[in-house]
Amino acid sequence: MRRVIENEVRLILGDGGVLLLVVFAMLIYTIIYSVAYGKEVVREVSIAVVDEDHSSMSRTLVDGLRSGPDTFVAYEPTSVEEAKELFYRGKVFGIVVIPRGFERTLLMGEQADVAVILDGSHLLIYKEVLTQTTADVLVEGTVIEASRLIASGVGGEDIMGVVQPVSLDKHILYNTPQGYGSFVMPSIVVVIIQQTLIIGLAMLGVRRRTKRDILQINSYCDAIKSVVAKILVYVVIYGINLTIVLGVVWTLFGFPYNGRTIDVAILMFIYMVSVTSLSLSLSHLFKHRESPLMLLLWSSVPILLLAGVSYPKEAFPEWLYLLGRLFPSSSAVNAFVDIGTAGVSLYDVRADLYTIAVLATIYLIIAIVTEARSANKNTLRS
Amino acid sequence: MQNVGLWSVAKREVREILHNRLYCSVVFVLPLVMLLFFTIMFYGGAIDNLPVAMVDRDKTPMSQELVDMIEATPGIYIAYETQSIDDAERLMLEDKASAIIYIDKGFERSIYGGVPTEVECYVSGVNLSASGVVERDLQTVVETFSSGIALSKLQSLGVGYEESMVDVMPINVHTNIVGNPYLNYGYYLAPIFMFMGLVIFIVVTATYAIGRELRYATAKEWLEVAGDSSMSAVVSKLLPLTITFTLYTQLIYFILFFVMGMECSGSYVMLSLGGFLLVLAYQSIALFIVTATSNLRLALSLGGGYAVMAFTFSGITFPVMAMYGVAQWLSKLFPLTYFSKILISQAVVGAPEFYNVKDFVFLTLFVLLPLVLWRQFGRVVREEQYWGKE
Repeated sequence: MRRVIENEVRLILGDGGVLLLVVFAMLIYTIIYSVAYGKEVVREVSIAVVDEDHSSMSRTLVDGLRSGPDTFVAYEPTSVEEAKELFYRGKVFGIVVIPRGFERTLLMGEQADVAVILDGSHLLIYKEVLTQTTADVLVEGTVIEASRLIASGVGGEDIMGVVQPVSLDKHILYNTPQGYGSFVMPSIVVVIIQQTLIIGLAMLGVRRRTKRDILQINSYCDAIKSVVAKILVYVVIYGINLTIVLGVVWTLFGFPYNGRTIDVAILMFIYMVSVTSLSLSLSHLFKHRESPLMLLLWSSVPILLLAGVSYPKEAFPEWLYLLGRLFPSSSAVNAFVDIGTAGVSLYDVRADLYTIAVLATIYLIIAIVTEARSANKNTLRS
Repeated sequence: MQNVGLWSVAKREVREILHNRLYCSVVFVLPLVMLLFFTIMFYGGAIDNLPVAMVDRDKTPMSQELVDMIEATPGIYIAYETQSIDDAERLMLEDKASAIIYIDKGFERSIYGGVPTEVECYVSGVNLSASGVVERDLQTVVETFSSGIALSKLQSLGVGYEESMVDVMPINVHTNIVGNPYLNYGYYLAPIFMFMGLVIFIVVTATYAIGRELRYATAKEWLEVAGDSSMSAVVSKLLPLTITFTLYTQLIYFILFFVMGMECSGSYVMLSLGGFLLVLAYQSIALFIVTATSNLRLALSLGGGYAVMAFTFSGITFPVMAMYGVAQWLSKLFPLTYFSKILISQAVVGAPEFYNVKDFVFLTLFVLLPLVLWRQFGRVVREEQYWGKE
């Protein structure tokens, strides 16, 4: 077993491509993705306000819009045409138009209009602009409504009970700032582990065969030893990587980590056994060392989607979702997000854990059988 | 000597694509599988019927009315009704519910008594895409419900119907959504995912086309067929791939506009030109990387990583303008960023064509990139020391 471990380490160190993928890729990718997603929330979205009314009431509304925090009045053009040009040039992501006669209409006790032009092509931006602008308009509206009611003699104290009898009180559990990075990074890390291992071990597999770099395997007992030793090597490498990612990168970018370390460790250990076994099973299928990368690179994003977290599982066919369960990453994404971010216990994610364990068993058996058979083939040939 | 020149190199490449199983898979089989996958994934596109857990502690006609209204919205489906908030939270932790809606005791009494009251909603920040839909629909329902009560109250106070309408909402907000008017999540993600997938194959195939000649030391024969001209060797070798992948960009537009039913709001000509330039830009980058490394597998790793990364920095998932300064700067290094701007303004927003001229200029600059290393390329394909690296 020591020989297998030494040999495996020597192989990894001897191949720059594999070294890059298996040892460094996880850290490099995690840092780059964190740089992109680390800012977490969309704040101060630039908008344009066209005030055609120039009245004290319209100015109050513009002040309200200016105070943000989700939107930021970057331009106050004089015409809608000008505002549209800013919109097309990507300078602003929303336009609020206060039409001429706004104040007069309100003073006459009629309903005044405000137009908000929104960009539906980016939903995160859309949501911020819509909620912020409508909230600002609503505040002004409520003030006007209340003063009108008081003027017409409706009681003072319980005025809010008339104006807005029911409102929505929103609470966010876990990932409370609703940060995008905190939402998507745990899933990405889990998928990176699987993809780098599958591709890296497939490259090594080709090398083992072409260079006849295979240790003598005479029985199933040898095959089991060989597979277990290899799994150990990768558990250690990825264990160290994951510790750095969760310890350093997570702290640096302020991603939430609420899980108990022992729970995360147990989950990740089972996941690693499952993924390494899958990778070892697949590693015998490739002919050339360039093949794994060419054939598998594209699959990372589909696999991330199949987990049903970054894109909700309710939005795509159930058969596709179930098919995705064949990848250990699908269940692991779910479990890791729940333990790491929401801070639940292993018991709460037992369904996912069970799936990963079953996959681990199946892939382990396949890995041992293929290991034994490929060794036989090679000894026969040489 | 056999035929020499442009067509012979192209023919030689087509023969290789058809006879080499690995090459054939990345040119024909996998790109189509990828497009089929994303079509199935995003077909329909609207996220609806998200399961929520309902805790109605009031159990009055008034609370029941609100529950019925919530049930009727397309985005929310009341999958569970529990007695306590703890039971509901358990369901949420087990991923059976996307949100908890909680109506406390005394809800009806407060409304009749004229005391402002609240409906509580617990969403999980762990699952942003689902909770966004629930929040949006719930907000609308509660506002409608609240206005309805306000309206009837004012009328009971003796205010006429029209006036009470005005009183409840003195300022009316007209929203006008430019592009993606149904706010369909699938419409919004499908185009960019498909092009991102295509970009990976553009880079992989172009890298393989050129890198293969170095790796297996066949560059000499390749150059002989090309009549010893580096330029015609590259152009005619990549030509079959350029044509195939440009056709794929057309296939994507066909899927988007005819299969998924998106509306093309802008210029189809601009979209086609953008697609063509996207193919050329990424082929050029592949050529650049192969020249710089003269190593097939290293070039595949670097080019592949670069192609995958483009997606994150294109700003579709998380907007570029909200990223750190460094990341905003990094996003300029990927052709996909410029292409997605063209895609969004032309396919979704319908902006006048000239607003995208800048993006076309940048895409063209990427196409010119290999010229920087042109002399190096001449050496790499002619000198044996660059060949045979594994």
